[in-house]
Amino acid sequence: MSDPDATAAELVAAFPELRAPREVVDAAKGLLTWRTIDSELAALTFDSLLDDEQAAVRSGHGPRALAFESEDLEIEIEVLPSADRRRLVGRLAPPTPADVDVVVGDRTVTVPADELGRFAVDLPEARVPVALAVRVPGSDPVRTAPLAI
Amino acid sequence: MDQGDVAAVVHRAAGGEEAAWHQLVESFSSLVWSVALRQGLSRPDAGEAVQMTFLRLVENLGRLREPEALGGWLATTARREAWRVSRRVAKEVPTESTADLDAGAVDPGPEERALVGERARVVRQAFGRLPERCARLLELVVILALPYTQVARMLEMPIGSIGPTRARCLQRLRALLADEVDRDE
Repeated sequence: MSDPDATAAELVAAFPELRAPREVVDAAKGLLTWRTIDSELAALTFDSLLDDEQAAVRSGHGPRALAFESEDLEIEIEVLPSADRRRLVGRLAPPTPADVDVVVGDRTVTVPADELGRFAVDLPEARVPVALAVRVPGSDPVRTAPLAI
Repeated sequence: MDQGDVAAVVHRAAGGEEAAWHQLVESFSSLVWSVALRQGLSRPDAGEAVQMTFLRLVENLGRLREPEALGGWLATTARREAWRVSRRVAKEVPTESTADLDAGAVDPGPEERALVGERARVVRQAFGRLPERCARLLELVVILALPYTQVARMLEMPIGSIGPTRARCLQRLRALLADEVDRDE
């Protein structure tokens, strides 16, 4: 073993855990779809997991609740767990019909919000980065920063 | 990625060019991953921290102040995202689904190092006896395969000295390996 390249190869082989697993790399490659233009970014204003310890203690296994605010729109969501899947339910305030793009990892699902601003979509069982883009007719789209839920 | 132009690739990715983005992810994902692991995250959680770190990069592609210093920016961001994930995980009530997720991790974790093999064990021991600067450089250049330009910035070394230092450090590792083998016999 006198060749430096052979030593380098041995070194690489000895630390397999430090190299990102293929599925992690492939997932990251899909993330460029988060890049958006011409939309307002709503700020995360509430996360039941981080912001409300009392609520977490009180509710125990209660659903994760999040709220985002832009200048003209508030978006509230809850993540409801069930046996084999999870469901994201949301509400827009003020209430308005809209198209809601739910970006889950590198996949986008579009669901309608009804006249009361309510919408719902299934989530995979595993935690994933999720973001929303809310398109209210006649207004600029509002998107949320991605968050693992 | 070419040794030269990380900044140019960042610029192209900022313009929406998929191939450029893929190049950035391929080049830097192991750096981000290893930083997340070092923060004590489990492999599934480290995977999440990697995703969040690259999301931050997507958001900031057009506004990086020093795109040529991307490696350092990603390492810092990865530490922050790893901290955020660990904080959330600590607060999370374990559910059946997250337990399944952990159990379903595909690759062996650090705890399973023994499974890596006898020769790898010897290499790791020898690596552990390298001077810190050598170990750091070999980790970035060889194990994580980062572009020399990034390693030069991260270690504050002139780029021209990376190649020779790599060769010298590999030589030291070889000598230590010979020692380890003698010792074992």
